[in-house]
Amino acid sequence: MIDYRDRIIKCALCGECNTQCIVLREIGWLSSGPKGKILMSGLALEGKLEKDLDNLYLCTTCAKCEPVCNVGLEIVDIIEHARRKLVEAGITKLPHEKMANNIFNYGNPYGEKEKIRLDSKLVEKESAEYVFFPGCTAKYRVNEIMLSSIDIFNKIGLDYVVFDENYCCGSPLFRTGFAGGFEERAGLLVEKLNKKGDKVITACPGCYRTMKNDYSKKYDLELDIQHISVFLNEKLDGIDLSLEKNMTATYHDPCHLGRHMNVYEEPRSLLKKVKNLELVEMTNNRENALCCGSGGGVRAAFDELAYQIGKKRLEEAKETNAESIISSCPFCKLMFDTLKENGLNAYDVTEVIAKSMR
Amino acid sequence: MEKELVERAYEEIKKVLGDKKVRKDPVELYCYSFDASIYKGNPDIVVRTSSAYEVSEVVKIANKYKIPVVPRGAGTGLTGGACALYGGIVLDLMAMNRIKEINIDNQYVVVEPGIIYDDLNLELASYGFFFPPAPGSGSACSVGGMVANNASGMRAVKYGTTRNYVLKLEVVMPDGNIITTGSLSSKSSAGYSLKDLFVGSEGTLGVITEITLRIKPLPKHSSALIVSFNNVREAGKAASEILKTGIVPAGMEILSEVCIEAVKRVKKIEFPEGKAILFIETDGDDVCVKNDTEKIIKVCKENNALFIQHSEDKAEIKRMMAGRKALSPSLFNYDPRLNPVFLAEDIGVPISSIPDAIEEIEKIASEEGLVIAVFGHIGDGNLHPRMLIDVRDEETWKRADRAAREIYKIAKKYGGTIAGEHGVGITRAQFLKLEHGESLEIMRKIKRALDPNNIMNPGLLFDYKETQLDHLRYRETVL
Repeated sequence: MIDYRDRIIKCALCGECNTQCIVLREIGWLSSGPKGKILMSGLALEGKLEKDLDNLYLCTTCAKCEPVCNVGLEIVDIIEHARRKLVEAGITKLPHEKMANNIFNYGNPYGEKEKIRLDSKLVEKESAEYVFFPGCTAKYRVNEIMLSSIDIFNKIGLDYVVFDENYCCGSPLFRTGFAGGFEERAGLLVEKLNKKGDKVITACPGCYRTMKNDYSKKYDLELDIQHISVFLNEKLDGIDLSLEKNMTATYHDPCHLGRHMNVYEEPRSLLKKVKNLELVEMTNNRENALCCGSGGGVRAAFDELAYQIGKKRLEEAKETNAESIISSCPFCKLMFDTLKENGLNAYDVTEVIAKSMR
Repeated sequence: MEKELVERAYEEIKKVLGDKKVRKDPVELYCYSFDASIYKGNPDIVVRTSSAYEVSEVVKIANKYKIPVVPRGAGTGLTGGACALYGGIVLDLMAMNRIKEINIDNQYVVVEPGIIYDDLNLELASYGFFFPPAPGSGSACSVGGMVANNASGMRAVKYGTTRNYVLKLEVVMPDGNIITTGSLSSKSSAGYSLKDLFVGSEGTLGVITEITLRIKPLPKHSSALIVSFNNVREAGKAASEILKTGIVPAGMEILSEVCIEAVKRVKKIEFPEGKAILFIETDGDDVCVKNDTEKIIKVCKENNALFIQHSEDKAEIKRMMAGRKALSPSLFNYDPRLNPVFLAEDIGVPISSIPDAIEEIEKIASEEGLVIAVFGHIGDGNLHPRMLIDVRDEETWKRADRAAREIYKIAKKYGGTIAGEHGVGITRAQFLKLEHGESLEIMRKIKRALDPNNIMNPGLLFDYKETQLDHLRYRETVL
């Protein structure tokens, strides 16, 4: 068992983390920054001022603060642990609570009761080499990502099956403190996936991080899972990819794929295979990339703040003179779509690849 | 602090600044009760101001009710200078972070106090200029905090401290009046240098709201050397001999054995074999850098250097300096039970006394059974003995307290200072008389004359009646 007190007491309080925080930049008060949240996590552990620790939910878990930490603290993990303590004490945000109830009751955070409708051939296979786990957001909110992925798999003749059950990986629960009692479900999900196939592909960085890292660290569950951008980068080598019209785009690193899982180059390498696509970099790219504002339950509970953060990222994207922003995360795509009046077309990497396969 | 007065002040501040700039909810106050030191002080109100006018209005209200005002930048100070020891108002100045003017022809920049040091230098770099003092916390600290503490860092040996760059200040005085002091002229003999009084005053005389700084062209070339020695004595001798040649390195750092061991073990960075290491940097035009480097290598060899690494390549210099940069993180992870604490961590002595001082500090560490990692800016005699202790153990704090007292005596013995670049704050307030003797009374008189109600950061410098172990944050919370 990790003793979070031993971790928190190591904090140098140097404030390096604050210099990176997009939330602090928007709000200004110290309780909205990582240093404040480490201090507040200490209070949560001690059960002090719990009712006033709401600002612990003001974190997109983007982890931009972690690389600069002088001590090497896993700041996001500390904040997520403190959120678990708050949830245990009944201090929650209503949208998070609703989301958690939906996951436990309906298997997805959106409370969708019906399964997605797909060609039965894609879902009824007993088993295949690959299992495609689209992720709830790619299924129900940005389903062009799921459909593009399926399109690509079909075009390359992949032996795969789509996991279409309403079964959330639990990522929103881990990020917002509600993961208590999820262990059994996680175990069951891994069992179900392994029954269908040995290798899992997901289109969602949140699912990827959760099923790869959280499951193994917290539940000792191992799963052979890849993010689709990594999988396609390997698989599409040598295949002719070309867009009909020229496009200049900038690639946005999703926090949970980049800083959390260290996947920076594969999506870029994949996109560079596409003819007629020119990639330009934003000033803050790779490990320095700015968050889109969606993560950590911030969009659900503080939508205005999330949009402000998203707009800043789009402003940076516009400075590159790109006409489009490409991400590899349903949450980022959803945010950029919502803010499309800012003048940039938003795509997921799967959409661009599907379009370029003719 | 009397609740009723605080409440009245709170309401009045809200009236002037609006609801959004004032807070007094317990969690926000808690977050503002720490800086990067070992101390905690609980404010009653926090205000985020965005102009000198707003600062002035807040200070006037505070003065009316005789409520303390504690100006705060990024809160990276190591001495407790931004902790509201006796409650009152913490003034968060970080929203005042504009660069108001960059004047390359006359080589100065005008900034607000909340600008981050590295952010300022990033902007200046696009003009080929920089503001040189380079504190270790440069990526996070505010320029206002640097002025208030007369901060400096690794480059002080060549480029001096913040004080050397302050041309002009705008200050909100304790009665709320806004004054400016200093000029754009690079020299002045017109009366008392009041701007110098505010530099290093740690918020005890007023609130700095605008700073005009001298800036310098960025050097075109640089070189770095890592030189190892058998012991700190030989390293110290070599450093002294280098300076005697007339060369002024851009930085000259010493790491003692505990530091070397910590970086090697925690960060897996290899150093040349030896029990003391010098990091030496030079900068300037290419010929000058080459000549200086050659001379430095020669002096090091004559002074029993064991190994010498040298480079003028930017990427390689960065790689070499990573070992020095890794020191602070390494000390935090040296031992899971031990934390670095900031007691007597910033003494200054004449350069030739450095080897003796380091050996004496190491003797104190051994007598008290403490780990003390000694490193510092040997080029200007500034040593940072960093004690590593179990902060949850009262008995260890007592030993650390005794060790700190002895370390200050070493500074005194060699005619040095108790605070080289981190300021006095809470941690050194009780020792200030050791350095200043009777002249401390002059400072006290100045403080009384300018701040008769003693509202500006009270307790710091003069009237602190407690000890370096009072107000420790670890006693109250997990942190």
